[in-house]
Amino acid sequence: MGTTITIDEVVGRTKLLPLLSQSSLRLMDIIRDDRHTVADIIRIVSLDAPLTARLLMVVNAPAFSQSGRVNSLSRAVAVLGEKVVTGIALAICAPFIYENDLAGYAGERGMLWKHSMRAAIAAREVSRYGTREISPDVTFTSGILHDIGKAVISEYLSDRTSLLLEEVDEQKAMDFLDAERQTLGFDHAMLGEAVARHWQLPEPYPQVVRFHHEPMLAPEVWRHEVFCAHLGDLIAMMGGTGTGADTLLYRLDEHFEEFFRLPEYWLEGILLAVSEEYEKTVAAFYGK
Amino acid sequence: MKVTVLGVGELGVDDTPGAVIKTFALGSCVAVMVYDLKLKVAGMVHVALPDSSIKPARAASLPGYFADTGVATLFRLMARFRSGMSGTRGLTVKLAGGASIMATHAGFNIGKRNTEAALSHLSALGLTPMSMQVGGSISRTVSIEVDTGRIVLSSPGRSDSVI
Repeated sequence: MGTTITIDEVVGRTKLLPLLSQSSLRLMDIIRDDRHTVADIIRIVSLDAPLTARLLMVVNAPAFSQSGRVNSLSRAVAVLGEKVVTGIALAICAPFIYENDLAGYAGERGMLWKHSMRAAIAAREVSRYGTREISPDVTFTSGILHDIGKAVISEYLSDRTSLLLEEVDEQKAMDFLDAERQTLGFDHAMLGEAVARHWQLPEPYPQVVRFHHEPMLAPEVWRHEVFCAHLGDLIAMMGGTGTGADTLLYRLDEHFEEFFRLPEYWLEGILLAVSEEYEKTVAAFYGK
Repeated sequence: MKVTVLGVGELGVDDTPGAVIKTFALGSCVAVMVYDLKLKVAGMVHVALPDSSIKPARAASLPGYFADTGVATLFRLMARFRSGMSGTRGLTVKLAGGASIMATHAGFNIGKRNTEAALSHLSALGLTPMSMQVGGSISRTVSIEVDTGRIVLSSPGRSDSVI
């Protein structure tokens, strides 16, 4: 690509992306409210026929091996858990994001959703250790959303993947995010925030998406949630579920210890717990 | 061609001519690969964590998940393919993986701890890897060929390499 493109032009294009379904937006909105009930979730999903059908398919996959076939939505939501339901809702209503092949990252179709699901589970696990109360539902959804900008930036990185890797390998860039900025003038977190604003996602999601690699720059009020996504993202990559060439090429913000009370061997425990739940969820999502 | 794909914590041994054992995206995990050149037997285990004491129940169902139980089980399985030979004579070992994110925080270097644990358990068996490609911030996919013991490593956006 020989032409230069500005972030304003790319952000302008994000405004042409399809909007999220009402059910997805409602789900994300409602799970932020601690007073919500499972009945609220079921009510929203029941109005979305494609989502209902997909949930029933997933819950009846062998990975969720129930004693009998699940035919009711209420049972499906109970088995899967409302957070997984929200994750599936997003994957279904935004295939242009989650099924993007991420060519600019030398990634493959489906990698973004898998990475996002693993990061979501990890972020939720990390949230248990917050120095203040952190909503596990919000952190799970934050994990699902944190990398949406990669689906948009990917096409502008095509043919430049090797160049970006070289910049990081030769320490001309601090990490892959910095390499994106040096090459294009913007990065996937910036574009992700533009998508989140276009989708009219409620706070803290735009902040999480924007600052998940630089959590100390996030508004103080949301810093715990942003750190959960930051750590969830890195833990997913450590577990081998990245989005392609950039996997592992991001820096840890070592201020994280100020926001969590972490026991000994917390990371090993989280890697183990995440691995077990992730494998089951992904196998079910793909009908295995 | 028979290709056996190992998931996290899985292990496999094969002596089928032309077969390949492969595991994807190691991240901080380590693949321990063992090869008997004379008998043409290849084995691999995809280790995720250094020590099974953190969750013995997981080790019981998936011994390859941990370096201690994974290395021991891999060599027991190799012995079955080598007519019950329990020793390590004639075996070569190679290692790959053990990567990390870009961090200096010691607690985050699970990859390094996985590598050290694997080396320690191999050493207890009297084995030192002939070659390794470990560490750094590279997620590696690795495969071993039964016919030759050749090990190929690949990572998105990078050229393949052989160890």
